[in-house]
Amino acid sequence: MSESPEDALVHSLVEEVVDSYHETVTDTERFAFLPRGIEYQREAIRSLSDFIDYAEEIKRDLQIDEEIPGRAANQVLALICMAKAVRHELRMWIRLKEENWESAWTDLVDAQEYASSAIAADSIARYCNVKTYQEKLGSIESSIFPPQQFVSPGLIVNTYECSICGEDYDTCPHLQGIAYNGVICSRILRDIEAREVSFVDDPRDKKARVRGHHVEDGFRNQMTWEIEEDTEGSEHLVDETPDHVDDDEVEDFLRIEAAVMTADDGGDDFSEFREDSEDQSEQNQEM
Amino acid sequence: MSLEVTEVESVPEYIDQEGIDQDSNIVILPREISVDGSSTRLVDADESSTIQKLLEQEGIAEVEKIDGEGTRAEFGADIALPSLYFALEFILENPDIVVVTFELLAIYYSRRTSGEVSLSILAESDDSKYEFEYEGPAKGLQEIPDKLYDRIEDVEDESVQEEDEEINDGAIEEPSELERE
Repeated sequence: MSESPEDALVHSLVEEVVDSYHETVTDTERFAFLPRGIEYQREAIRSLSDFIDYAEEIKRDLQIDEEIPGRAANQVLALICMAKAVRHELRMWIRLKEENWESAWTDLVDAQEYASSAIAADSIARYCNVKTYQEKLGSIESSIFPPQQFVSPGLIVNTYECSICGEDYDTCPHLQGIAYNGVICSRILRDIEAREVSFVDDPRDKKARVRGHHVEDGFRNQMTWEIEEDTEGSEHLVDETPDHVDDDEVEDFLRIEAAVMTADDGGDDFSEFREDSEDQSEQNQEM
Repeated sequence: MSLEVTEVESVPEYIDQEGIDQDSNIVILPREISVDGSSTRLVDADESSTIQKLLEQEGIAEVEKIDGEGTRAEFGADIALPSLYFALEFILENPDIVVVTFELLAIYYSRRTSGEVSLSILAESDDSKYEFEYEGPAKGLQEIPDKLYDRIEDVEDESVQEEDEEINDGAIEEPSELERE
């Protein structure tokens, strides 16, 4: 059976995005290594941002037309997710050179999450070597960063809202982790009862981690192991012991600071890498 | 990948109390959690609603969920699935549904996670109840029905053998642990 003109148009649109993806990512991935110059890495981020803007526009066109099967938008979404993963990886290398370790970790985790989202979006991700890419990110995590202590909240959720239709997730037709017409369904927590916080080895959210612990002369950063000054108001915490801890146990008592939950989309602002933004930054420095 | 089989106390009475026809349905069970160390509360497992919707959307209407009070949210990289109950009559009368159910779970969770999934299946044999504890890659879920039916056959064979030997103590051998790499 021959393809209808409408189907042929959709296929050609998706093929255009695929070609543009391969051209952009092949060109930018070669800068995703520590020794590469920051300027090249910034330029690679700009190229990826341009591709993402272009692909988002195509995805919107595909989403609007109800006659078009949702798979076309899902395929474009998978490519966007992979491009975003590489963009976060590039920023991670820049942050490492800037010795901005916490942000570098956040970018690594975002890169890993976007690579996973690409797989969830559509099987086209297989042709982007996503599995090999995930292994590369796993190697970076274990060889560049020190081991992390993760935390996980214990919650009872009375209502989950569907991110696609806004209805109660229990009764709506969408399934979490499945892409529908270019959007991946997730559950939004509503009406929760917090119960406890646990230490875990393998969390879903690797940004939920112990930042450090309080010591006698300050705050020991878990990432750098350096002792930092206590933030205002936190120094008295070291002297306060909970009622259920006996006096002879105080020396074994450790006070930590941790992020228990983090937002999913907090790190997608790459506006600082836009050309006009960099010009403005240089002008400000000259003044 | 590991699949551990143990003999467990029965849950059919509880399912009956909930008014569910267990012979005609796969039953998604709630989880019991402790509250303040003194009392307990039944809650949905994190994936209970998702599994119910997935199976129903794929044409398996024979699914009933016993609702808990709220849902216990999980934030691990691995996915903990709820306990599923299969009555003997359902297993014997609906082998196609049992096989398709686990294939659907394997396909869906393979897409969701590259980590592991864990799942507990409570199943009846002729005169006992068994709990199958699975932990491993999502793809391995589709091999569970074979183990389920093997176990039922084993028990039936043992029963026949016991009758032949006129041993009438009704005991079944200690559960075995099946482990495969």
